[in-house]
Amino acid sequence: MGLTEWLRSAATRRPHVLLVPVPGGTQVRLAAQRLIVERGWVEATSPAGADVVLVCGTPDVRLGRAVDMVWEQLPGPRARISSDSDATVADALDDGVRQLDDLDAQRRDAGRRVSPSPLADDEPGDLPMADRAEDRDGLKLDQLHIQLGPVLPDWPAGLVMRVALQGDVIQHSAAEVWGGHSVHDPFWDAGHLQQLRGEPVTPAELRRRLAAAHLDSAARMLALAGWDDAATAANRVRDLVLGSGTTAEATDRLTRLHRRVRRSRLLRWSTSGLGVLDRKAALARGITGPALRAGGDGYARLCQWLTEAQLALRESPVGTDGPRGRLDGTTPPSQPLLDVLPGLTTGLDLATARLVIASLDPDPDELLLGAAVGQP
Amino acid sequence: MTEATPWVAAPVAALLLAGLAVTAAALDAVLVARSAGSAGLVAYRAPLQETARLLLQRRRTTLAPDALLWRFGGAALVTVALLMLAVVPLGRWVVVDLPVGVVWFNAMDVLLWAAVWLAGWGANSVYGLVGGYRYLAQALSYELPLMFALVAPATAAASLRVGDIVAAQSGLWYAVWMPVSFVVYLGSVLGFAMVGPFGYPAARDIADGVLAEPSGVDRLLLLAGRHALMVAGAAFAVPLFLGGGAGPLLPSWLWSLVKTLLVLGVLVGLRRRLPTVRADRFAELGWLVALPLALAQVLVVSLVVLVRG
Repeated sequence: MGLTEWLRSAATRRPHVLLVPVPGGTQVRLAAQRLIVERGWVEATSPAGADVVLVCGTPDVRLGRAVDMVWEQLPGPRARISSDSDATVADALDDGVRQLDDLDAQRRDAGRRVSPSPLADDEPGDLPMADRAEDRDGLKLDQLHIQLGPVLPDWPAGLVMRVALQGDVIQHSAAEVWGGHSVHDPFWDAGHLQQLRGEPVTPAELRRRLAAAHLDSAARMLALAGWDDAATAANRVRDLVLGSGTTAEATDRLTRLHRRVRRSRLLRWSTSGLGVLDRKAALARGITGPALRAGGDGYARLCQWLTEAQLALRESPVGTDGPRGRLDGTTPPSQPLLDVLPGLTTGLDLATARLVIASLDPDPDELLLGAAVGQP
Repeated sequence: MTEATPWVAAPVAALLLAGLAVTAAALDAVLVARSAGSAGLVAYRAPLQETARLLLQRRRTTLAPDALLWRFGGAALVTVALLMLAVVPLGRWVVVDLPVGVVWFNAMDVLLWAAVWLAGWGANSVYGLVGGYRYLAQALSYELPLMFALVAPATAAASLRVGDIVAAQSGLWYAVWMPVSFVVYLGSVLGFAMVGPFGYPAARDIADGVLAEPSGVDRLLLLAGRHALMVAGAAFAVPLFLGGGAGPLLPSWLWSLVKTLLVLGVLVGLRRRLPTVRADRFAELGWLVALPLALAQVLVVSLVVLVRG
């Protein structure tokens, strides 16, 4: 066996998969994350470190163009796979490995790609000069307009925030959601919506999905806070809860995770005071759900998620609220969460802004697919 | 007592660095796999599989990067780790026994400021640039406490030569009566290796920061450089705080190795268990807590030296 083949056989044992979550494809994303962990693969955090792009769901035109741009940024050897239902994810991942192993196809792909010609110093492509604007101290500083998302690790699916940065401080931002196609209810709210419509739903199913939703949000925030162990543990409990695991094991692990998070003074020190939304301000904005009940900063919302997940698993009665808030209004509960983001993130640097966004965690599924019974 | 070594010492040191770096990466992969619940022990192959993958991956470039400085910054991490290791004795042997070994180590870790910033800025990418500046912001806070943590053993041994510091620990190891310096030193190793609680420059929230744009061999050099820096830092802790190769039964070079592995195990174990500290929060801790404590430790050491004669 040649050296390349030998290296390739070692390399494809552990591919790095860049997940592109699409609104409407939450189930696919969850299945993909679970399978990646089971197989010992790695979830990539940037196109440069990825071999495989997995599109979780069916993107629309704008999101599809974003995926194409990300695809272009992958160095070779690369594979592009997509899946629109959780049953086909395993086959898609196997197909991805097959594409990576196909050396002839990879060579053809490499030959087709054009490397850019070296640029002269005074014509950097189509990039305009950086404009200048006032910063918070009244100085005129360079301003950079970038777009956070839609493909970013630990980021709500399809969320796009256009921000104007000075240094790494956000001067102003605007949020929107790019969509996908799906015929189902939003995954996290499906049980509650069925209950509101009068269809029969088992309470155990409702409780499990509510706990899993909170754990999913908590895992994202813990990953952004840099605590890999806790994020992995939260994802593990989420998969146990959603799968066929016993409630006893899930409750046990969740209790331990909750205790670790509460005891961690480093986490509290790192995330306290970010994105403060006391109860009055939250009520005024129309926010319901855990963000209202927590009534404080990002750390308080994180602890609220873990507490409510524990309560949900402990067989306490579940109300009609979805994981983000009330589902019987005229707007989805994630809409006020999305609307409050630009105001809360202005003046924060990138790290704290991402923590604030993760602590509110609007669900793009709800925003695009309409998670309010009052909506047509 | 350190011996002058033939020219073969340098490649042997490089091989040792590579071997220990792979060991550290393998331990990290096993710990990650265990916490994720997937097959734990099999993950020890992860560093070799990752190396194979990155060797086969193509290099990529961005729009209008400063290619020379970008690649240079990335490659400098491994080089600096090797230079750091040049003054660390393995038992009785050392590559270069500089009379100012402690200062050499400090100078090398200051070179990292330039290396990591270039690796971030050279890519002409937002996330890379933010990562580079995050490293500078973080390094500003740990550098002075690190310097004073290195001064304490040198004061106690009345010499900047690493061999003399090892010899002066024949009574009590410095880690026992200079605990503040030891802890500050270990924290600084995590800091200049950009891992664990001080992984801010390569954090997930900016798509791996300094690691956002490079791929292929450049990425391999950066990732290997981080592990190599952890190894070099752990190795330097042994002669400085843990008595070098001193110990019963085993030969001194084996004791050095065992102690290095122990310190490395502690560093790797701490890596994933603590959340990342942001540089603006860390500035308070570094300047208002770590620096005065490190200074107080140096004062205590100086008084002890005076009293002893």
